[in-house]
Amino acid sequence: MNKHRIKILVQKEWLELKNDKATLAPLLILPIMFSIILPSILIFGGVRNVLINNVGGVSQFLENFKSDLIPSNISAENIGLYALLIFFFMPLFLLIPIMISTVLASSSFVGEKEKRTIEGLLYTPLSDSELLMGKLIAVLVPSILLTWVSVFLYGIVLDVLGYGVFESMIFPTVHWLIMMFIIAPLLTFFSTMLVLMVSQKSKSSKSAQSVAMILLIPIIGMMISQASGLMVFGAIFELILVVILIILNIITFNIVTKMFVREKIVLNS
Amino acid sequence: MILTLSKVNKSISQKKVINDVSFSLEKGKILALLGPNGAGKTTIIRLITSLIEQDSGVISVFNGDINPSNIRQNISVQNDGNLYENLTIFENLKIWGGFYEIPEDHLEVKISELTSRFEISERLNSQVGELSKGMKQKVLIIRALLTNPKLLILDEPTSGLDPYMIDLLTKILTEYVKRHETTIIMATHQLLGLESIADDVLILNKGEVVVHGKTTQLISDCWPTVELDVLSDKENFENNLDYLTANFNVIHSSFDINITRIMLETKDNHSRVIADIANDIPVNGITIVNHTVKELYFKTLGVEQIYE
Repeated sequence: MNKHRIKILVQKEWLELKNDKATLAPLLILPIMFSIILPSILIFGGVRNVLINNVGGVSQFLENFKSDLIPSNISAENIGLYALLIFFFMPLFLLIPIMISTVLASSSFVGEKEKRTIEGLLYTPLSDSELLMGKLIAVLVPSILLTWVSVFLYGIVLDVLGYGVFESMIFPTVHWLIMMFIIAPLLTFFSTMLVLMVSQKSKSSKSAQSVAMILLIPIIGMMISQASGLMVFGAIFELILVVILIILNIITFNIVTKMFVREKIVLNS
Repeated sequence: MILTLSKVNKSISQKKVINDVSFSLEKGKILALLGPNGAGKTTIIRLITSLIEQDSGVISVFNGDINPSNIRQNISVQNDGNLYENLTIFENLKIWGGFYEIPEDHLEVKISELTSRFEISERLNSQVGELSKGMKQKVLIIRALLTNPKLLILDEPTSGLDPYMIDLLTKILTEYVKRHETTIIMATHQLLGLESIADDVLILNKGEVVVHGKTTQLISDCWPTVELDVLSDKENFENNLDYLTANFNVIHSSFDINITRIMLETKDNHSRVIADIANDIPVNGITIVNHTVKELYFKTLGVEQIYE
């Protein structure tokens, strides 16, 4: 594989993304909401605030939550708020890499078909593997980085604003670190692979993005399970999730590499 | 030979689109690849560039190089695909040069030279999305020329260009071939004046080669006799026509308000025939009819020209 050509392809993708404000802007809204706005409202409002009391799933989550997962230094009155911020929020942050990678991957792969630029690119000396690698880097790196920045900002909000409430820094926890450095990248890769699989047949980036719905179902399932007390985003759950994602990634990557043949791309475009 | 196709076949979705196609192309020559819509021109280009694989037959590019990446490194294609609309002309060209690993300083000089030659230097930092169709076409051609390819493939290069730019493009391509010994395949529907630029012509129809050869040879094979266009005044028309009909095979006669025209064909030495006619009857001028690739195209495909 020729690293220089991959680098140029990645540069091209990022330059296009930088100039595409219509794609870029929505990608920043969700992270800002989850990282800054929602936790700030919760911390300022406290655990008995209107938001919590009016959202059914949240109050049910608090009723069913097993308090043995809470560190001993958290006072009884703050257990609910701690549980919300540390456990309930975690699946929400899995939506960020899914959403970003889905939008970027569909724009990168199907977008080239839509804009009729793909054939020109296929005439260049880029090999199939260089093309796939360059496109993957261009999607995975910003998706993962933006997720990390979101989690980092969330942590700052929790530790700075939450210090007055909890009298200690509650972030990060081991669960969050695993989520951030292992689960989020694996999930980003998986959602990108799914988009790539449908991009062979898909003629518009919007239809390719609909594949994200497949991934949203288990995430919503996680939130419902947490709310009903069926499971909590703890160590065992994370371990199971990591193993499942690794298996799924291996399977989908193999499918994608077999599907990623320029004759199919040209004839389907 | 820089390119040889031998008995190449290709089916797409169970439909045979290329049928037993064979031809070869010498280094430094310009081939006009012609044919009606759906004749298989784009498929031939895709086969040569290894974008798709033939079902049977042999394609040998650059004396048998089989690495698709190496082949594409030395081939440049301008087709009706698009540029990156939200990037500038300069960014589009710089990225393209990067894929071909042209050193950065050399690339910038080359971009400057070519944009100046195509008279778009002042728009270098304009976003491609803001450009007219003709301007985008110029950028697509520059993008193809940028990499100094051994084989340059142009698919409808004159589309969207004004008459001045078409002339300029012809001049640039002719110079380019001379300077770099580049071989050019030009798929086009713009047939006017093609005989002055194309060394070879290949006409495809329904995936098959109908005609292939040297342009001048094909034309002279198609019209083996010399055709002369004799112009005279109206008052001499009848007498001249009688004289010419008696001595030659008159194939066409017409008269306008002030001038009459009689076309005839002869197998004899045309210089002598011209001298004899000029000596025997009062004429305003005698010219040799030069047949064109456009006429060859229509005659080969058996369709009538709407406008001559």
